[in-house]
Amino acid sequence: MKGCTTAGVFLCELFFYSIWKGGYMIRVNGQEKPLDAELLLSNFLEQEGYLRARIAVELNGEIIPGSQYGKMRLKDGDVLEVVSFVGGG
Amino acid sequence: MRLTREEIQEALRERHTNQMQDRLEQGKVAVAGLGGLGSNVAFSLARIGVGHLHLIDFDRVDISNLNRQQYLMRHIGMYKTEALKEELLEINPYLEIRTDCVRVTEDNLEELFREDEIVCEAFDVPECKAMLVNGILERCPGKTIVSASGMAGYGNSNAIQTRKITKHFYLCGDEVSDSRAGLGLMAPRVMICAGHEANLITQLIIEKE
Repeated sequence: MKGCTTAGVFLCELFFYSIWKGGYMIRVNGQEKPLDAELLLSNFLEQEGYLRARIAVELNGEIIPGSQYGKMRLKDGDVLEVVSFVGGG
Repeated sequence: MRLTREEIQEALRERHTNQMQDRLEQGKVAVAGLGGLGSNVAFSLARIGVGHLHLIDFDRVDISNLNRQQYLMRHIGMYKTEALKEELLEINPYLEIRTDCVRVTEDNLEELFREDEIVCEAFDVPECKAMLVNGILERCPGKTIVSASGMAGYGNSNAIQTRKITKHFYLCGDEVSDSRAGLGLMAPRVMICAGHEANLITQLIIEKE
């Protein structure tokens, strides 16, 4: 009985810790990526080093117009696909 | 020798079946950029009898194009739109080929592609590729864009793939081989990538819902 309580307390603490910490996961080009702060899409793209004029961005299946990058906030569980074009044709 | 419309149609229908040729004849494809990708894509589509081709480029044929683009010495100095149209009509003079010798911009994009169902992005500059893909997806609902990124150099044929990004956006290429000094564009690998674009476009036309 004692063991169950301890485990319960531990799980509870883990749950509240994760909420307090505010971390969340998104999926970028097929890979899980943890974010530790709420982030605008534009900030995320900049942070990752993408050149804005060379990319196309799909968020949860929808293409996001460039004018919206600075308005959209990434949420836990978001699925992001960033196509970064290289030269040649 | 000039073949009649009936002779060409019969040959294509025998190869491809009536059902598929009906679809191909109705295909409406724009090719934006007539370099290594675009000229090869257009050749493939013209050969199988895609009925309506829209060729777009502002540039003229240069000596440096001959290492990978479907032009001949006699075309040097000509607008690519005119040179390519001339060649395609030698393969099949009964295709409807529209040309626009213009630079594609955010301002003329909607009007330029109004009649086309599928747009093949075949530019070389990455910013132009991104502009066209975003422009079509944001402002031309219902159209499908087939784009290409990463085909410089030689070897590693199997790294070039076709990937579906969304219902209306497909990407061909290895996505990493940037053309730069020391890693130039060469016919064999550019043609593989153009083949991916043309083959997907063929599938989209034939399997259209």
